[in-house]
Amino acid sequence: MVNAPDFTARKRERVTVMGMATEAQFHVLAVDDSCIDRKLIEKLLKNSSYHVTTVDSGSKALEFLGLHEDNLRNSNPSSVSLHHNQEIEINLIITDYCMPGMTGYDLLKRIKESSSLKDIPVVIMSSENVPSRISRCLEEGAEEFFLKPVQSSDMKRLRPHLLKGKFREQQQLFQLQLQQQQPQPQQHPNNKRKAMEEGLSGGLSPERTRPRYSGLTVV
Amino acid sequence: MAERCRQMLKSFVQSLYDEGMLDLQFAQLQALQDASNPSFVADVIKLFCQDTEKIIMELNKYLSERVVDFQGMDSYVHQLKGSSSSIGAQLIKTACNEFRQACDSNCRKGWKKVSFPMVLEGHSV
Repeated sequence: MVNAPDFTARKRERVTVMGMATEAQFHVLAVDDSCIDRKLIEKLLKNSSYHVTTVDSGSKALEFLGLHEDNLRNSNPSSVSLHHNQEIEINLIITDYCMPGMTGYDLLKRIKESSSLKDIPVVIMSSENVPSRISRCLEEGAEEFFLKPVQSSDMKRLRPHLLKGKFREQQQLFQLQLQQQQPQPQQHPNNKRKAMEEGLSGGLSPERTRPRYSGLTVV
Repeated sequence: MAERCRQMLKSFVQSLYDEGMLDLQFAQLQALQDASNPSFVADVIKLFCQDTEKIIMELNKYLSERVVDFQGMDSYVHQLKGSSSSIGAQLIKTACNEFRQACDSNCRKGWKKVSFPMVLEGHSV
């Protein structure tokens, strides 16, 4: 029989340690059609120790994320076109609002409509302070709205969303581990705890693809 | 010698602030530069120059037409306004705002010839 309180404390400790260890590895995708703004946002993000990829359009962003436009409406992950970058995990998307072709709002909508991408936090940037635009984006699921030019002080507003995403992922993994452990026969308490800890430590590498359990139902 | 150059550059940039050519966003840009990317500001200015040159060429094409398509020009001016705002080129940003207001009233006389701030060359020193 597992000693529940002890195990829960262990889990919390491990989640915190994992959160701190992986903070430097958060990968942000920045989308902006302006090369100057792309250079700026890249530097701002790198100065905050995030790994950054920049693209110049919404459609390139979707391609990078592993989705093609004609697959967007189909929420079945198995039918998603596989991009050679499928293994790359994106922890946050920051996008300009005004872009030719697909706007930042269109990109936000498509991300939120995709079962594999909807949990990625999205932040919108705009040079224009239009209240109706801001509320429209927030209603559609954007986490934050940054007014351009984006400042260093804006970068700390990203952290809670990144940490929340990582914590949610770790919780889902933990649930999955628990599910897998349940049918096993009773063991010595120390061995069982050790087996669970090994399971936890083995499953949280940054290279793991996010879509693997995005459709997971935890009973 | 290097110190003297640094001082000259510093006073030159200060004069641009005083004249209203630069605003505090330029200081933000300077603050972003660090040892890992020592030419960051110069790179951004270079990019801005290249971008702006293309935009001004396009705008001049529009203006040389008998019937000026102010609507078509607007997206270029919007781009220029955005990039100038991002690097702190206040004078250009203001000119863009005024131009857009003039476009709204469909007035060709509203177009100002924007002279490139000399900081663009000065900073590459």
